[in-house]
Amino acid sequence: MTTTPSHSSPLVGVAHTGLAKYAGLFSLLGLAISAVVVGEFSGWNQGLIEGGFGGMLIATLLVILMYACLCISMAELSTMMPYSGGAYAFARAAMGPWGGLIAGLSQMMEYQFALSTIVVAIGIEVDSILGEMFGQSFSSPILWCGIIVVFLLLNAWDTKLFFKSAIILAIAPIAVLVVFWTLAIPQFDMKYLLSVDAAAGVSKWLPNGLVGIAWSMPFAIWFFLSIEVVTLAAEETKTPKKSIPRAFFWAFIILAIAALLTLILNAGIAPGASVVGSSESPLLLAFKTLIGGQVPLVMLILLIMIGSLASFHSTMYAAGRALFSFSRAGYLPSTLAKLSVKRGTPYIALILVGVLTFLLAIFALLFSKKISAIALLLNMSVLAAVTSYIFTLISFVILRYKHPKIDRPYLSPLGVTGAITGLLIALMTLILMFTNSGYQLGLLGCLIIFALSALYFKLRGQSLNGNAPEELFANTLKLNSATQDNINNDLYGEAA
Amino acid sequence: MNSYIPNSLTSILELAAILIFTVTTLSAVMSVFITKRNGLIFLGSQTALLFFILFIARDWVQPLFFPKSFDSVEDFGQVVISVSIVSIAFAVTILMRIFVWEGSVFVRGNTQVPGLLVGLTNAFIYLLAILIILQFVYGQSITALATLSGAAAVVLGFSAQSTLGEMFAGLALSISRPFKVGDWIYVDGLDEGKVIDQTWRHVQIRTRNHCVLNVANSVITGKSIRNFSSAQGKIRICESIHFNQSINPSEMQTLLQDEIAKSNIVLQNPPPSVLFKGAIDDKFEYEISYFIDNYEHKPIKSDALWKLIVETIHQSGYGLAVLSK
Repeated sequence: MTTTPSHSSPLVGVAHTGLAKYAGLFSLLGLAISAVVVGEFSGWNQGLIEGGFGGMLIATLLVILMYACLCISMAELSTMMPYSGGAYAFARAAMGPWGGLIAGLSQMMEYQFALSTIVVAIGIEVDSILGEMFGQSFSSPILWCGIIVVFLLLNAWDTKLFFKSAIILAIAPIAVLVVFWTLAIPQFDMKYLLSVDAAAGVSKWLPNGLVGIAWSMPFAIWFFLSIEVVTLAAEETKTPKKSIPRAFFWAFIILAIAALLTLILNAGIAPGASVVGSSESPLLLAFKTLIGGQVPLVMLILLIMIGSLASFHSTMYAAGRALFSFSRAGYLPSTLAKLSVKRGTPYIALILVGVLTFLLAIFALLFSKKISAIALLLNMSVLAAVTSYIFTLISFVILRYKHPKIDRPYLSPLGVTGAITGLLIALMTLILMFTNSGYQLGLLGCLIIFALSALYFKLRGQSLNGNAPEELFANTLKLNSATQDNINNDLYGEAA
Repeated sequence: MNSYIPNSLTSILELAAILIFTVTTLSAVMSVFITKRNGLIFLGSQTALLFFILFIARDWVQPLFFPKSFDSVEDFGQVVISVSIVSIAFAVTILMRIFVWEGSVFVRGNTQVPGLLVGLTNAFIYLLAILIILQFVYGQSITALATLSGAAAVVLGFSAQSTLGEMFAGLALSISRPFKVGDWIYVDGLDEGKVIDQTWRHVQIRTRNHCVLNVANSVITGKSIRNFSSAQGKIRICESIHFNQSINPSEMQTLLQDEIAKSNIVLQNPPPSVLFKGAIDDKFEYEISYFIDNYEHKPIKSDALWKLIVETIHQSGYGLAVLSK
C-alpha cells in the first residue's frame, strides 16, 4: 500500500493507491445496474399489500425523487473524493472520524447482509432447479460455498474480469425484464392492479388509506437499493470526473423506467396485485402466467436466477471495497487492506467478505425456526442503507456550507435543495421503518453493531492511517478551513 | 374511512405530485435558511407548483385535509391559486435577478444595476400578479380599479410632481447609463468624484475631499457629464513642464520619456509620451502625457511621477525653470 500525497491540497488527491484503474462509463453502469437489479425481480412486491397499487405507485415516485437527489449529490461528492470509501469518505470529510465510522459501518452492513440474503435466495433457486432436473436436493451450505467461491474468484482474480462480467450481468437481467414487459403489455388489465382487498366504501387505490403510502416506502426502496455502489468504484475509474456523473445519470434513468414498468406490469397481469404482493418471487409468478405452459419451470427459474447472480456479483464487490477502504484507513486491522499486487484487487478483504457471507447464511439457517433470520438480515441491510444515505446527504450539505470553495469537478445542479429533498424522504422512510414491528428487531441489531464498533474504536484509541486517501482529504480540508476566514461570505458567490 | 380519499388514477397522481412538491418546497425553505440566498429560485418555482397542484386537486383536497379551515371548495381554490400566482411573480423576480440584473444582460465588468430599476420592475411584476388575481380569480373587474387608479394617479401626480420627475429622470439615467456606480465622473459645474449610489431621488457622488454630493437626478440629466472610467478603463493625463532654452529639446524628450517608461508608475500601453510645445516667455514648454487605469489614483500617480522627474533632472544636471501644471 503506497500512498503518495503529491500536493498539499486535497483537490489533487492521491495519485496512486494500488487499486487498478480500469473502469469507464459502461463498467460503472454495469456495476450499478447489476447491483440493483435483484430489487426489480423481487422484494418490492410486499409494498402492494401495504399500500395497494396507488400507495405503492406514490411511494415509488417519492423514492424515485429521493434517488434522483441522492445520485446527483453523490456524483458531486464522489468526483470530489474519487476514493473507494463511498459514504465513509464523505462523512469522514464532513463530520470527522465518528461520522466516518457510522457511515462506513452502515454501508458495510448494507452490502454484507444483503450478500448473505442473496446467497440464500440463490441457494433456494439452485436447489429447486436441481430438484426439478434430477429429483434430488443438495444441502444448502455446500451450495452456498460453491456460489461464494465462484464469485470470489470472479471478484478477486482481476479488476478487468470483474467489470466485464458485471456488464454482462447487467445486460442479461435487463434483457429478461424487457422480455417480461413485452409479453405482459397485451395482458395488462386495470382490474388486476386494484385487486388488493379494500373494505366497503374505501378507495380501491389506497386500501389502507393515506398511511398505506408510508408503509410502502421501505419496499419501494428495493427498486434502487445499492445504486450507490458507483461511489465505491471511484478509485478504480479512469476518468471519474466524466464517467461517474454519467454512470449515475444513466443507471438512474434505466432503473427508474424499469421500476415503473415492473411495478405496473407485474401487478397489472393475472393473478393480480394481491397475489403478487404476497409472493416470494413475483417475477416468476408473472412468467408462469405469461409463458408457464410453453416453457419448462427450470428455464423460468434460471431466468429469475440471473437477477440474483448479478446482484451477488456486484454486491460482493461493494462489500469488499467498503471493508478494504475501512481497514486501509485504520478503523479495522490494516492487514485486511492488502491488495493483490499483480491484479489490483483487495483479495484479503474479499475473502473475509466471502467467509462472513457464509457464516451469516449459516446463522440464518440455524435460527430459521425461531425467528426469520433472513428477513432480519434483509431489514438490517435496508436500514443500514438508508442510514448511509442520510449520512451522505448531510455530508453534502455540510461540505457545501463549510467548504463552498473547494474544487468540485462536477457540481450538482440541484445543490443544497436537492440534497435536503433526498434527506427529508430518507429520514421519513427511516422513521416509518421504526414504526413497523418487522424492522424493530433489525434496528436493535444495527444499534448493537454500532455500539460494539464504537466501543472497539474508542478502545483502539483512534489510530487512523493519515495516508489513506479519505483520511488525507479530510485532514487537509480541516487544515484549509482553519486558515480560511471569509468562508461565509463566499457562499454568496455560488450560483443560486 | 373518509370517502374523499383518492380513488382514481388522476387523483392518485395529484396526491403524488402534492407530496413531492411539499417535500421540495420544504427543502427549498431549509436550503434558503442554511445557505442564505441560494435556492430562492427553487423556493419560488416549487411553491408555485405545489399550490397549482392543490388548485387542480381542490375538489378532494379541501374536504379531505381542510374541511374546517375553508367554507367551500371555491374559497380554497381561490386562495391556493392566488398563492400560486404570487409565487410565480416571486420566481419571476428571482429569475430577473439571476439572468438580467446579475446575469449576462446587464453585467459588464463590475457593473451594478441601480436598485431603482430593480425595485420598479419588481413592483410592476407584483402589481401585475395582483391585478391578475383580482380579475381572474376573484372576478373583480379591474376597469373600475383602473379608473380609480387613474384618478389616484392625477392626484398623486400633482402632489408629488417633483418627486415623480426625479424618479423618471432616474429611470432615464438607469436606462441610458451615462455612468454606473463606481465610475469617476465630472458633472458640469460640480466637483469631480466617484458615483457611490443612485437612488429614487438623487445620485450620490463622493468627491476627492470625501464629502458626498447629493445631486438630484433631474439636475444630472440636464448637464453634460464627463466620465473618466471609460470602457477600456484607461484615461489620459497631460501635464506641462518648463526648462531653460539652453537645453536641447530632443535630448530632454528622450531623457524624460525613457525614465517614465522605465518606471512602473504609469501604463506602458499606450506608451507615455513627451512632446515639445515651443517657447513661452523665455522658457521651453514640454507636455508629458500618460495613461492610468484608475482615475481615483490620479493624485498618487501624479505625485510619484513628478518626484521621478525632479530626481531625474537633478541627476542629469539640467535645471528646471518653472514647475507648473
